[in-house]
Amino acid sequence: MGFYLYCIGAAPLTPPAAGGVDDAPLTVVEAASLVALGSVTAECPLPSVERVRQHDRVIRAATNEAATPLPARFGQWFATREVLAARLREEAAGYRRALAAVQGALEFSVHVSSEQWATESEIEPNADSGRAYMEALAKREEARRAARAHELQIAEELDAWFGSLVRGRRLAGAGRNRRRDPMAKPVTTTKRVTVAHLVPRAEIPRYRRETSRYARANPALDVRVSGPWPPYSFAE
Amino acid sequence: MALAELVSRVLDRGVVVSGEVVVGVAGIDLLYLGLDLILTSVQTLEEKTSRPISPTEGCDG
Repeated sequence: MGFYLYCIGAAPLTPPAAGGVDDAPLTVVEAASLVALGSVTAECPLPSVERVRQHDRVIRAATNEAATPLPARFGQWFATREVLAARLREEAAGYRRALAAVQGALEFSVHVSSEQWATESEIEPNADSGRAYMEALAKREEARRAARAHELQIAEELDAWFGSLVRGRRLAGAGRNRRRDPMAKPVTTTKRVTVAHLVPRAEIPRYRRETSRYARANPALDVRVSGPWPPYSFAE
Repeated sequence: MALAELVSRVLDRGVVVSGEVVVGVAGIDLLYLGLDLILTSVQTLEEKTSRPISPTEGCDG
C-alpha cells in the first residue's frame, strides 16, 4: 500500500479525526522531526471536485493556532512510507525553513481588476505567413511583459498599503479572466491581478479592515479578497 | 469564484515532495493540458452531479 500526502508539519502533529480523500483514515509518517500527514491508499486518487475539497479539508483541519503545516499539492502519492520518509530526510532543512516562514500565518488573496484595464482581444499567432506569425508572437510576448509589469505595480501598491501587516507576498501570475471553454475563440476580457498575502493570525482583523479601506480609497478598482487559506502559495 | 480558487490552489500550489505531481485522467497528464481545461472539467463534473457550490470553508482563523 502506498501513502497519499496532504501536508508536512513539524512534530508533533496529531492527525485530524475526520477522514481524508474518499474517507481514507489519516495517519502520519515521521522523519527528521517532520511529520507528513496522509492516508494509506493503494493508488493515487484521481482529481475530482469532491476529492479536491476533501484534500483541502484535511489541510484546514490540521491548521490551527499551534500548527501551520505546509499544504501539499494534490496528487502526491508514494509507493511506500519509507520512500516519503527518505525524501523528508533529504529535504528536511528546506522544509523547516518553510515551516518557520509560515508558522502562525494564513494566506489571503487580493483580486484587483478594473474596467479601465479592458484589453484587446487575445493575440493568437494564427497568421498565414511566417513573418506575420512571428510578429503576432512578438506582440503577444510584449503584451505579457506589460501585464507582468502591471501586476508588479499593483502588488507594490498593496505592499505600501499593508506594510508590516503582511509577512509575505506572492504574485499569482498576470493573466486574464479564464474563458469557460478553452477551445472557444478568444474574447475581449478584463485583466485581473491576484496577489497572495501571508498574514499573521493576530493581524487578520486589521488586514481585513485595511483591505476594505483600500477598496474604498480606490473606487475605480474592483477589489475582492478571499481567505483565509492554508498557506498554499507559500509552501512551494 | 470560490470553487475555481480552491481548485487552482489545490492542484497548482503547495509543497511538492517528489519533484513532480501526477494528476491524470484516462492516461492524460492534466498538467500539460493546463488549468483552463481542469476548470472546465470541474464545471462539467458539477453540471453532471448537479451539486450546489458552497462557499469555501474558512480556516480556523
